[in-house]
Amino acid sequence: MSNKVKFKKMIFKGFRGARKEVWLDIGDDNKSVVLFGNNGDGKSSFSDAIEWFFTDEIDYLQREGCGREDYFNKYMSLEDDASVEINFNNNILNSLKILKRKGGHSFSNTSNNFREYIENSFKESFILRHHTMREFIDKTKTKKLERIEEIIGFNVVKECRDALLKALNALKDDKQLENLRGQLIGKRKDLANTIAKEEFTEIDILNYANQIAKQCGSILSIVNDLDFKSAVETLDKKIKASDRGKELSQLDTINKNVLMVTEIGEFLNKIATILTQHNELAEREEIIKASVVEKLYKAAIEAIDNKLVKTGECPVCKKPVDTELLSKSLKDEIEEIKKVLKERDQIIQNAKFLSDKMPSHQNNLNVLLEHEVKTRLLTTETFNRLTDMANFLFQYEKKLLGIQKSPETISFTPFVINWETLKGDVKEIQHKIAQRKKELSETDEEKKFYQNVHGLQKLHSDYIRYKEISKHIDTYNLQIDSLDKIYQDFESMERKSVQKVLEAISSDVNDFFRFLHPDDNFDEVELIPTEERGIEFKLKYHGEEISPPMKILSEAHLNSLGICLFLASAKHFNKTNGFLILDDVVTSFDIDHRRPLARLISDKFSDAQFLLFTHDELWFEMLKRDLPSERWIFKELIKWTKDNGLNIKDSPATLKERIITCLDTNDSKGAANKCRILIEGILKEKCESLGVRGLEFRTGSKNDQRESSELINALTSYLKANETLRDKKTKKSFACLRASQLITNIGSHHRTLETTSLSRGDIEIVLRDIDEFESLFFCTDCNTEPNIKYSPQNSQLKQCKCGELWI
Amino acid sequence: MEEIKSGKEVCDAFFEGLIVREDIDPRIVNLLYQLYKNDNLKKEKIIQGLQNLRQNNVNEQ
Repeated sequence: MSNKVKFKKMIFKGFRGARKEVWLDIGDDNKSVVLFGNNGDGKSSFSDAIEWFFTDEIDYLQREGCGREDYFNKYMSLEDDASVEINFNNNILNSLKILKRKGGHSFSNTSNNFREYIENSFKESFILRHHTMREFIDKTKTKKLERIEEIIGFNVVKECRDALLKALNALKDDKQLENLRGQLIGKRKDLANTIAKEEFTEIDILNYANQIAKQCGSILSIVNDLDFKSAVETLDKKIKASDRGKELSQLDTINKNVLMVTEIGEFLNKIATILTQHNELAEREEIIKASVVEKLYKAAIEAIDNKLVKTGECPVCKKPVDTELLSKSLKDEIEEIKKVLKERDQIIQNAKFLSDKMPSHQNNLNVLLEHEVKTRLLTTETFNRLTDMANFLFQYEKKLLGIQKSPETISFTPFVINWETLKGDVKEIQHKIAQRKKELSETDEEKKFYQNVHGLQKLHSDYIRYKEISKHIDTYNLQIDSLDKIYQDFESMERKSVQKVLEAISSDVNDFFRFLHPDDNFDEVELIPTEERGIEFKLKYHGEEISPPMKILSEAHLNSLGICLFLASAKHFNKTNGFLILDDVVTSFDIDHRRPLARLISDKFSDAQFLLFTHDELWFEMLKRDLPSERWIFKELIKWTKDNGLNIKDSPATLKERIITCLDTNDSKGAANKCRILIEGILKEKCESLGVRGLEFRTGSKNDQRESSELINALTSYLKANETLRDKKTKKSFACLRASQLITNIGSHHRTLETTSLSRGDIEIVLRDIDEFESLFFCTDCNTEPNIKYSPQNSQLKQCKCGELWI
Repeated sequence: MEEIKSGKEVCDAFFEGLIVREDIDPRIVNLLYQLYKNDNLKKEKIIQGLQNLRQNNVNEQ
């Protein structure tokens, strides 16, 4: 984390508990900070300000229904903005962020570097609060996986996977594929009927075609598709070579074109509709023309919204104007332009489509209007009607091009037709064709020949279509198979990648968790994938596998697991920021696990910068002793007041110094409270270092609620059992500490009793008693205290480092 | 300790690996690779690309 971004200073004002300017100055050497403050003194204002600086919101407040108006200090002027300024070890990232009363916010740093930094920071998780510690553990398996994917930036993987899967499913369900499958079944049936064989292969069809071709006198043998095509073409030419054949072929062609006449009528109607739509839109021509200044409109809106121009002044002509109204009106105008342009695009597309179809329809009509057809098959009225239609096609062709060229109005004559008459015309021509075909009578032999040739032609056409459809379906299937394979591979790659991540996190979570709970027989803590798409914690307790961990872990253990996961994921995934904020996370930790946590963050995260907030004075004192002063600074909050808001000061190095400070400011209650904490801390420390047994087992925070008297009793019992320190001086010292413990307890807990007010002298006596008590446990030869770690295993008495003092 | 890859790195590696695959239709591979590279790997774009490939297939016939 050494090259990562770290805090140098933060200053905030008007934000949450900070009415006036509050400074948290860390200095240039990237030290970590422990900030002590009693509940209600405003510690969380720091983490709130940091969270808002990076994410624009304070998540836990949002979830409680609080909004941005709750971010402002309640006692500041309703006109004032709030601000948070953070300076980092990389100066180019320093920025002030202002929370504006009138809405929105702004950063003073508008550089690309800073924007990129904020974007990257948004993806990282660096704040852990007491009430969010168990959030991950309490999530469902699926949500746990989603959260891990979010933390490790796998959103892009999820998006790719979703796109591939959706495309695959859409391809499988494609209506066109379904339609092709239906067509294939139909064609297969046709072919089966023709060759009179339900189950067949391509060879069966070619054999059958060969047989029919031979009957038609073909000298070609059909053994493949090319032969089949040649045979059909040769026989077709043979038919067309005779006069009758020619005429029959011509009648067939005319018949095909006649079938298109009603479609051409509908086609002309469609064009008339498009022209009408075009002309309606042309009435709004000014909007289409305005599209050329759309960019200017956008620039003006941006200038107004970002306050780049004076309020009340037009950004273009500088004349006085209601800028808010102007911005709204320009936005509406842009929307309207977009809508009209979209409609015009659609009309142009439709016009293009119809233009493409035009030549084919013109050709259809031209065939029918040829001289020979006219004289043989059409009445004058029918000819005139078809000529009219041809003229309309010619006119409309130009109009369609006009639509595509310009948005201006196009004049046109509407196409009007009597559909019944048109259908009558078609029927009449078809009837004449059928009659003529009959007149071209054939001999039985000829009939047989024509039948066979037509049959062969149909078989060929069905066969070719069948193969086309099959090939099309094969293409679909190939695409489905390929996409399915790619999707499966992608999913497998994703699983492996997530597995790798889980293994890395698990290894650290296990390492950290065992560090915090060395004697609790937990092992192999890991995150494992579940059968459904999800993940879950698993661990071994006394060798037995447990999952989920709630089955066995206490609340304190679960919180501890939450911290371990947070630290492990920060270690692996926080690539930008080298700071971590722990806000009151030890609240539910028992005393035995607080020190290991301090050691964990000190030993395993020596490169990271911590901002550690706590209301626990005892732990605060413990941290002062345990954390190296060259890397840590200690600060405390001055009691919050309505007028001053929160305030911060350097914390004296020891609790005794803080007691003296209280005495100097005539805060005897504060001094008494700190004396009580000091006595408790000393007693707990002695009990711990001597391995004093006999304390009733308590879990979690209840362990912290042990009274000092209970600890003195346990310590006394230990000393009795060990028959040491039984001299008069020791007994007296124990008695004095008991008395001091009692008076400080009363002085701090029962603050309303006037009779319990303690004087400076009282407190000084307490401090002297404490010193004398501590001296009993101190070896002046080696400057250490007797401790389990210096003593032989299972030894009743514990020795100091040099072995001179045994207790 | 092996560096954990980011989501983008994982995807980059997958699609780079895809273009050398011989067991999958190269046209489909190329389509997906190009869409991914141009930040366009969306369902609609894939469907449209596959349809174009089918159309080209028909035209080739």
